[in-house]
Amino acid sequence: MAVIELQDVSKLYGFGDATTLALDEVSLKIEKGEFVAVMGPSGCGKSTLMNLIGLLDRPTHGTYSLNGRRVDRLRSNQAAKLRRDTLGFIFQSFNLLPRLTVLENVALPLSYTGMGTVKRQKIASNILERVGMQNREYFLPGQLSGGQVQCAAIARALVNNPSLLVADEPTGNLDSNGSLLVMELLSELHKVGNTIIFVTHNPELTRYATRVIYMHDGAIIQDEQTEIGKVAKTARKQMYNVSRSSEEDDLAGVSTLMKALPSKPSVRTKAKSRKRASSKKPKATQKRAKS
Amino acid sequence: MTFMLNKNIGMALHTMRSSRARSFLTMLGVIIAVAAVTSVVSIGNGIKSAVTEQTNQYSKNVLTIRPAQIGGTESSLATLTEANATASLTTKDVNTISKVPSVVDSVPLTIVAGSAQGDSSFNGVVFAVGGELSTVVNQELAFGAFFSSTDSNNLAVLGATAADKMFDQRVPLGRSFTIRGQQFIVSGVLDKFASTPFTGSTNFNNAIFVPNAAVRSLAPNGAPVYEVLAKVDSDHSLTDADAAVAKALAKKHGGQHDFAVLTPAELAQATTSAFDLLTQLIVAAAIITLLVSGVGIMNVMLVSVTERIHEIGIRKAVGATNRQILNQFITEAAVLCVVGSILGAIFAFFVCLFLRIFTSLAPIYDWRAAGVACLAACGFGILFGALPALKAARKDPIAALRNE
Ligand SMILES: Nc1ncnc2c1ncn2[C@@H]1O[C@H](COP(=O)(O)OP(=O)(O)O)[C@@H](O)[C@H]1O
Ligand SMILES: [Mg+2]
Repeated sequence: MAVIELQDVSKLYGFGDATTLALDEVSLKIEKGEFVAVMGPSGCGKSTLMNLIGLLDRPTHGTYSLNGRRVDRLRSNQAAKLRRDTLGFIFQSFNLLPRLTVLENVALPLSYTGMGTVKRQKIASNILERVGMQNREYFLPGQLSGGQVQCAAIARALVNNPSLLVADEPTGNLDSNGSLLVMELLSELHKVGNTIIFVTHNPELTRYATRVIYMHDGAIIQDEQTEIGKVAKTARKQMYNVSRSSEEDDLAGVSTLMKALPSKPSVRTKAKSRKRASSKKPKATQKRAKS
Repeated sequence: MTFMLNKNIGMALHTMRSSRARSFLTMLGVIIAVAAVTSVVSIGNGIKSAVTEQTNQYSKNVLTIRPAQIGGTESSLATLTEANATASLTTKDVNTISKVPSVVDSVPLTIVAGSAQGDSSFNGVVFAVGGELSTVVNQELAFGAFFSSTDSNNLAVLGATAADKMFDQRVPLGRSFTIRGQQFIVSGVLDKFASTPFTGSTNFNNAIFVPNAAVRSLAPNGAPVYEVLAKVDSDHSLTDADAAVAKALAKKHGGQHDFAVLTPAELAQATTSAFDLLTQLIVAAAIITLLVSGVGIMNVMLVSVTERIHEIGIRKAVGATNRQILNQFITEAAVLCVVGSILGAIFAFFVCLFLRIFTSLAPIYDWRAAGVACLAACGFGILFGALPALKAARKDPIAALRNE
């Protein structure tokens, strides 16, 4: 059984003359254990798709099954309970509560299940250890680097042991170090069996994915299986020629280029030494280093 | 359930701590309202008990008989406002009263209109009385002596305030003054009566007492008897004597109860119930304050909800249901109200303590009023806090998240 299955899903915003077709009859099936990257120009409907998959929003038309259960017509409270119990959402802007400690933030979803504080914090603490943040438990989000905040946000998304992690541009607000930290973490989570779908503008990051989906004007225009460690074919083309649709894309492209160019060693050595220090050696980095 | 409540309270306290100033300002409304209600009622209690105590002190064992409206209105205000007296007491009535077995001594007080001219003029009450007044009322003279029926009829005794206002001398014994052109000589000055401004009995400190015999020349057409004071034998109970006097008088009045016989307690009661009216008015005003503080809470909750739309979005995104958000915000309102009203009650306690130490008011802290005020504050606060909370709970998670 597929983890998610979308059938002819459309999403309309507004009405009358101001109607926007954000998603146009999208069909998509994601199996357990997949690591899906979603790419496409700004405004093509990636966030809309993530919000629908993450049950933060409802499709206008079409059907959506999550773990075989129809969820496209849920009432808001049922959707909230499913978000709490079976989904993990990771945002571009992290969205941790600034006044709660990292530990409290990570434990937040569990608090809505009625679990006791002690148990909750123990689970959260374990998760934080898994994402390498055990010594930051009592920090406030403002006291951490962007990458660390996103790792804490990933821990929060993981705390309910979700069947799917949905990440809308998880590295969009991060510098290259932060991006690396976050992507390595997601990659490890994928290796231990998590199903992940994430949005990125950075073709370089398709190295981590097992499948890349390209969107345009609310539709999926290409769906490509790819090998871990290699930049997906279409993405690679995009890396060198394409017209950029926005400034954001430009910036993403530039930083990608800088990382890809062998004559710019600083970023890479930094990344490598970081890997050694953490003694975790994911395949992706090794392969990238070789290539 | 209780456990979820604990969590919500914990969260609410957390929010309060992290925005101290705002929380305190919100609570200030509640604190003031609860403190005002409690203090006013407590001060009222203190005054009532002081009135009762004082009335008992100088008119212990004394019945006050006053003319009352025909038809016998028992309203407390009717006994206070002499002008309403449509019936009057006569010398015959005074005789009837003095013949009641339990009455040892009685003295009529006849009101004579007119101001007194001493060193300065004074607009007090002129009472024509018998010399027995000094024995009926438990009050010593500060200086001099009370006149007796055998003395000449141009002697006068002054209340403490009257003496003070009329003469420049501290001890004006032997000094003379005039009422309606008739000359009187001061034979004595009474000790100051410990009366409060609220007592229903006449303030004897402002009174000028002249002998009964003077009435004939001062008011040739006769003057009304204002009241008769009757001292009751200490062997008899006041209420029995009250009944006996009332019965005897009614018999003479052809069964009409066009008079009132008041025990000291009833006299105090008349005062205190008038004061109760005042208290009720102030409490009504204070309840409006409570309502306003509820509106204050609504306002702050509204600001809080608007300020925290993003937080609401995050909480909903990680799985909070509408009800859980609603509960969180209602709990916050409730915690503000509960903490505020407890602080208000404590504040009122210190206000009472302060007044007790530094003023002559002796407030008696009213726990019941404090409790009711706290409950009302919490009720209003939670009621008003619920509306913004509802608004918070219904937010769409994506729209809320977009709001930074
Ligand atoms: N709440 C909304 N109301 C109206 N239009 C919206 C709303 N959200 C998104 N859109 C429109 O839907 C389209 C897809 O947006 P989005 O999914 O955010 O794109 P992406 O994440 O790929 O940049 C855009 O044209 C956008 O203007
Ligand atoms: Mg987007």
